[in-house]
Amino acid sequence: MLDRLRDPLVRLRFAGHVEGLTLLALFFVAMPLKYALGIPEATRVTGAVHGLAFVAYLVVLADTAAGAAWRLREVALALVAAMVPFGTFVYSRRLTGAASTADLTPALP
Amino acid sequence: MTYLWIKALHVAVVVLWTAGVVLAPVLAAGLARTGAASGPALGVLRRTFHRLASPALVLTWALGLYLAVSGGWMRFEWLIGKMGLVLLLTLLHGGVSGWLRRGEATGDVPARLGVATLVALGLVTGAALLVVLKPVV
Repeated sequence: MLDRLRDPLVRLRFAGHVEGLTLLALFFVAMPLKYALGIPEATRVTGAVHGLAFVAYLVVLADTAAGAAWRLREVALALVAAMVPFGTFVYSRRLTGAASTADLTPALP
Repeated sequence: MTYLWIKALHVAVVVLWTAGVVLAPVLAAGLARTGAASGPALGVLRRTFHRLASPALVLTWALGLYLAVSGGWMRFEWLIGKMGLVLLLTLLHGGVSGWLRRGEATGDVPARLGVATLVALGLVTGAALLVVLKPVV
């Protein structure tokens, strides 16, 4: 498992899944607990965990994008994916389709 | 007492982390200038960066968040500003890591690495000013 994480695309997919799961937990577990049952601690804890997962995703994205000279459009797509529920799971399918980071990189003129 | 120990440890790992983000691009650019930049040389630099600066980055965040929460600092604007600068430096850490990996693969030093040092220095200086002066908005 740790060896597979040396591949930047696998690492980005993994970080995306963690980020996506924490976002779903925030939206569909913690927020109902806060607003329906009056438990504000739920969003405080889940929000903090999601914040850290989001930062980790951004770092891995910066590493992947810089390492493969991604075009800005690809970076923007990966960013938007992290901000909507299920976004990183959908984006992960795009990454799975690419055999390597080079497939998402513009050809040099 | 625990707070002060954690604070001292936080300062130590911040120094280690920021040294990595500032120096790795300088060293890579230096290798390129002297014609010594090669895949293996940049690979050694990348691995050293990851062994020292990456754990320091994680510890900086963990200890810093502990200090911010336990010290009741989260409500101050200067800390929010500082955290923004630290977030940018964290993203730059990711960028430097990627550029070094690309350099290791191609043997060339990406031109953007030279700018990374200046950006890192600016961010570190800004964060230091905010945490020492604690300006009130």
